[in-house]
Amino acid sequence: MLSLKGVSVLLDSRVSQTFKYNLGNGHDEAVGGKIVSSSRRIKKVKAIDNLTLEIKKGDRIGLIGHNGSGKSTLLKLICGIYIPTHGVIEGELFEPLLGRAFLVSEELSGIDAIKAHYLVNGSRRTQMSMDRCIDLISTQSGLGEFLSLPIKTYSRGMAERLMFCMMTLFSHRALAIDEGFGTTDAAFQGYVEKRLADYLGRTDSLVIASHSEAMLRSFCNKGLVMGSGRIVYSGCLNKCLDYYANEYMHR
Amino acid sequence: MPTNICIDSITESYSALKDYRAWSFTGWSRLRSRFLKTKLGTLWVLLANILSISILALVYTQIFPSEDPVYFIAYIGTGYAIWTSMTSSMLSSLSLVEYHSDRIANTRRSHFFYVYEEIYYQLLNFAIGCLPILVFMFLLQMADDISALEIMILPRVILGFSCYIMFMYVTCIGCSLMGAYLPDISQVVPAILQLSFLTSPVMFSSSVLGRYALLSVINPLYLILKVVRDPLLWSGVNETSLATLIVCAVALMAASTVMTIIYNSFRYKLTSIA
Repeated sequence: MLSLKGVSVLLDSRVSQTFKYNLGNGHDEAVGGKIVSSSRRIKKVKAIDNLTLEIKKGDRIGLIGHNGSGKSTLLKLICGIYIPTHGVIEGELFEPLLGRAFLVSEELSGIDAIKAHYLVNGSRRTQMSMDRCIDLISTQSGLGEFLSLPIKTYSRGMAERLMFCMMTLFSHRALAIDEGFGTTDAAFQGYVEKRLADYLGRTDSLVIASHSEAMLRSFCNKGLVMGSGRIVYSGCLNKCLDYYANEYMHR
Repeated sequence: MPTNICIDSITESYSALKDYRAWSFTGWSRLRSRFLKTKLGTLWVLLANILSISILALVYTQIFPSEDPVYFIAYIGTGYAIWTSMTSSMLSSLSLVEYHSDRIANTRRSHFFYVYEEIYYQLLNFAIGCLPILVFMFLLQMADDISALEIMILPRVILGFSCYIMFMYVTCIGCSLMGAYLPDISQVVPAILQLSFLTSPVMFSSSVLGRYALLSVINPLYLILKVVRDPLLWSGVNETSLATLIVCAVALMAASTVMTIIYNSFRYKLTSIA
């Protein structure tokens, strides 16, 4: 179980250059966190604002909200990547499946990427040998001999297949997944759905941030609608999706 | 409690150290990818150093004629190899946080992992590019005059290299924090290192500096170079005693502990700026 009490997260962002334009007029308040202070060089953004939440074992929560509503920040909070500026987090942290960058240079081969992933993420928690992992990913991804070629020669779909298979290689009890995970070409999509169902089926607790209603309906039973760093609605997933559709999509 | 902070920091650093299979692989992969398109691969690290040292030795032996040219060539070769290794480590560490920003921002991995990966990468560069040169310089002196070789050479050399590795650890953390939090000052670092090289007796004898010898005394980079180089230049006058080496090693151990604590205290702040 994980408990968040009165949690806020303030992030400093360096302003890259000073524009002569008045950018404030174009700002949609539903997009992005709240800018709480601003200087010429630094803007402080309140990405999470006084959030209280309890995630119990077995909860499968879908995070719904506009871009910049705080979904990714909340995922990073529950994974222990961020710590709260105010408030307290107690309990067992989630395992992050957030970034989708290879651990090695794209000049190197897919096999090097798998080896790096195995050594960095899995060698201590699995009985599977590295060679077995490479065989498994070679078959599951369908890339076969292409794994011996540099990653930079892969198409985007091929790279996503490899990334997806690597990231679903080791199971975790509590997972936090960011949007866009597992999206790939139609031919591979059937495998992705089956694999995700099996992979996430072995997970006790799950928090997914996604814009895909289908994905949320497949894997989640509860929902949280986020806006400007706050939870604006929570409940069963269907009600959350309806709330989001009614309140935000019509603006 | 200060004791808890100290223990927590050392534990964090040690847990990253235990992941040696992972960071050694990613460090080696980084070196491989640098030379992937070349035919000679990582051998270029050694060849580039040999080329540089040969030309510098040719030039400097003309500018500063020496009574013992073999010793002077060994002096230049070891100085250049060690100095370039130290400074390239510092320069590379300035962009450590930026280079690993995606991993820092999206994983819970200890930040010490990236420090060890960087140190391993630099040590690989050193092992491939400098170690053969140092061994050659050592043997060159042996061929010239083996009588000066003492039994205490080995402990002194080991202590010297231990100091070198600890210095690399301290500067890697320091430079990565400087690069993350003081980007303006980090822009000046390459110029400072270049000036430091030109004003330190790396490629010439310290007697050349004359009344400016103080410059070398107050330069920490040169002090570390001396500690590593002097045991390797056993055929000359040994200015660095075993006691000095031990004191240096202890001081660097203390500095390493302090930097470990400082770096651990910045772990979450680094995540938000990555």
